[in-house]
Amino acid sequence: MNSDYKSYLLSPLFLGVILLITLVGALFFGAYSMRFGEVWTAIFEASQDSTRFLILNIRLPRILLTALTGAGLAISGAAIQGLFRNPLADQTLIGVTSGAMLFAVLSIVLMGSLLTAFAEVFRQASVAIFAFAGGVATTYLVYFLSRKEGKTYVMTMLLAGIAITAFAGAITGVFIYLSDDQQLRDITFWSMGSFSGANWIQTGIVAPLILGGIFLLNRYAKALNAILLGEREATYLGIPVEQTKSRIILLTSLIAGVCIAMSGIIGFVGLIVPHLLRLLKGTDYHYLLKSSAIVGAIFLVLADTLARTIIAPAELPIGILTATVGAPFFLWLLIRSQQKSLAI
Amino acid sequence: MIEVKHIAVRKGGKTIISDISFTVKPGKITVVVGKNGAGKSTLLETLSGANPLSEGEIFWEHQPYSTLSPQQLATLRAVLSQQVTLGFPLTVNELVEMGTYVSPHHLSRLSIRKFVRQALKKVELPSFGNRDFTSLSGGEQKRVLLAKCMVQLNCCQQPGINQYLFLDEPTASLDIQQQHKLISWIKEWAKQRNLGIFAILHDLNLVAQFADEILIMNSGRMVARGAPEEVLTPEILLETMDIHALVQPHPVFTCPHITTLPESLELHSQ
Amino acid sequence: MKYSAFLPGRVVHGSFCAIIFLFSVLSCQTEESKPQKIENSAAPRIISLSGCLTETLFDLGYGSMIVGRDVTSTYPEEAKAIADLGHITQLNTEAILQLNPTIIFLEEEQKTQTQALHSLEQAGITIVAIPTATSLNNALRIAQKMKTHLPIEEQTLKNLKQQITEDSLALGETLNPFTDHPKVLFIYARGAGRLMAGGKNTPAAVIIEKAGGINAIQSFDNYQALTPEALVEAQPSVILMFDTGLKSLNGKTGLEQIPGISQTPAFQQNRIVAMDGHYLTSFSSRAGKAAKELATLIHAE
Repeated sequence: MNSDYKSYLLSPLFLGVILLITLVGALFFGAYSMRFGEVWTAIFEASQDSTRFLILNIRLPRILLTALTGAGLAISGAAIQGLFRNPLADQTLIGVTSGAMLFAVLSIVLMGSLLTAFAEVFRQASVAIFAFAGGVATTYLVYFLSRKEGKTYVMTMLLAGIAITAFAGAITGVFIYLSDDQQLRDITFWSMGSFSGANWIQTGIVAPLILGGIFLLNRYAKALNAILLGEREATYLGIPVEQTKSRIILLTSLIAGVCIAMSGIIGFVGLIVPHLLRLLKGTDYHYLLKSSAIVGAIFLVLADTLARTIIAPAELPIGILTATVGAPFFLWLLIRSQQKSLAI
Repeated sequence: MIEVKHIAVRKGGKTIISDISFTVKPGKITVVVGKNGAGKSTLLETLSGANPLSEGEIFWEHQPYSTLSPQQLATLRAVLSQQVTLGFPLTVNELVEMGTYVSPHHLSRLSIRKFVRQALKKVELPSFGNRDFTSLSGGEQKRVLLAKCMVQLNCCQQPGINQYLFLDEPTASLDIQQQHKLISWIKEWAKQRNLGIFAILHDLNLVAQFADEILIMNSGRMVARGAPEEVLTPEILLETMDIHALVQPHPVFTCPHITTLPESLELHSQ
Repeated sequence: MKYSAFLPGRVVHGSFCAIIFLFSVLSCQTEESKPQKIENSAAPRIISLSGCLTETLFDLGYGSMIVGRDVTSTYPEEAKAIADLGHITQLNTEAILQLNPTIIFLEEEQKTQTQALHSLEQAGITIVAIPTATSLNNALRIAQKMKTHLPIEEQTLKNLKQQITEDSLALGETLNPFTDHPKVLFIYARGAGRLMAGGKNTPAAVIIEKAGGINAIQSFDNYQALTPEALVEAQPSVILMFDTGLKSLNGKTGLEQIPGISQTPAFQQNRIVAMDGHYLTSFSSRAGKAAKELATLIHAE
């Protein structure tokens, strides 16, 4: 009886409406308290006061950046899970997270002193640039290691990913060991993720990359569905499997790389959002990719709204929130479902 | 017509199959038999386009196989695999629907549903659409996969273009009643659509009833080829497959009937 | 569909309720805690993002005008009552704007650590990055720099200068009778199992030298992990720690567990000195006093 009602509630269109409500809703909350009417006035009447500045230049870009990051992390997680046919997979698996972490740490520890001659903007950007380059380069290395005679072996890639992650982790450890106290604190906070520095420049850089990436990934829904049957079956269905694999890996590493570069490491979104939707609605990637992006955005915007208000005037690293909220919710869902095939 | 001309496949420096030539004709059933490890599966995969050729060439209606893209190939043939393990649970509808992915044209939601419904009706699982594929029995799964193949070939059917169906041990792990049902559907469908069929089968009596032409493989080579009554003789079976067998006329059909015997029995003593 | 059967609509429904609930909770919180906004008046509203700067502001009589501080600003006691904005790398831009500050002070060295400054600058807040140094008159130089942004009276500066000079003189008098220069090893305990030895050019090494000691480690800069070899090689006659650090090791009993430490003269003669971290190494106006206190402790007997 409620099957129709539920599929209506879970349709991408309805989820999109929820996202819109969440985005607008989030605009009304923050450490800087103002009445609903004030927010309204600030947005729609061209006044020159500080509330308008706050809403348009601080809150709005941050909410948008958060939404884009959530969407990017969730959709790339969904794609990677499908490609590897593995429920435990997310972007961490292809090395993008550990690579980004390593290079970010490298930038924090080594570049701090080397870059003193450069402009401050560049120094701040260097962590992001390094993290992005490191993430994508590490993914490429993992991908390269798992190729043989023009074929990518996902099992090899999985293992190579684990090995490279461990290796990158070890080198990261060396640099953490070499870091001074301030650098260590920077690294710690970076690895817990934050949107506290969000501004229009960041949002402007991220928006075309993530939206473009989401658009392109969506075109691989058929291929990802077919790959669920196995790579050989997908070939029989006319899917150019090798080409698909390399493009999906490229796209996900770019999307995840950008997300991590801008906001640090935010775990759990890429893993649980696709699972949540799979449990609620099913595996069809035509649906899963779109709605993962939407629900990922909703989830992260809500989490960040909490992060920036819950212990105001200070703020909580968002990675802590996604894990503390996400993990129990996911477990609850898993236990309720009592689904053996998904008990991971 | 698919013409296979002197093909060989090597993997990692090892020759899996070599110097194999035969044809698969529209409306005819070609069956390959042989011992485990004879190279049957590799031959079927190669014919399906999953393996690169090391030597020789395959022609699809006189067009070299190497000039066809995976997408084109998928509109010409469907493959019924022996087994499919899913990465994540899928419903029967979602799985069968994948047959329509090969269509070069955009299909409406409505026509996709129609193809799926028709195919599921054909394999006598009309109410299984929303069931979870992984919860089905082996026989039901095989029928769902056949339905997917039907959708695949039906949705890109064009007049004047021959289509083919490849079957990898379609009757494995099915009970006798299911085996006969599956074979009869395939036969009926092939006749109706003038499909060319290429299959790997183990049950020699099923082969005898089913096949128009039989290929026997041993150690990567084709060692015998011909109609059932030509190939299914005690001498050839012993020589190519190490089977001691008694071959008699089938009590009901016109094909040979094979009784396999333990090695210890001396044939000539009869 | 099978996978949905076990999750009826109420789960979905519940999620939406949760969203609405979340928003209403948040809205209550923000409505209730809404303080009165104070319009810009003559009195500056200061945010200080460094313990040393906060202390100096209190020295200069501006303590009551500080509306926000970072987590390291814990001295004097009154400072703890000021709104805590957390660590400088994770500033909440909105919360800072909510405090309606006119000026933000931070240490120049930390300027690159926070990304929020850009937005705050755009919002029209004056941001002053002040260079700091490990010297006894550090506080005075900070105060002089602050004077360009705050109406600090010349007399106040003079008083501060006099106090620092007096402290320096007192330090000199304390050091006078001592002829030896004890080797002092600074151990920085940052979390369980993470013990660092203070090398050259660290604030700890500077204060040790000001107090007439020698930093036991001369082979490296900054901090490095403490190894048994380094401990034995350094042969410190005094071990210096932050009181919080010593406490985190469970005092002297915990210290004993560290391999190699029982071989040092400092441990054998029970010469473990613990002092407040901020007092000892922030080089505020109390730096001279801290050095004097340290001098008496390391030259004991």
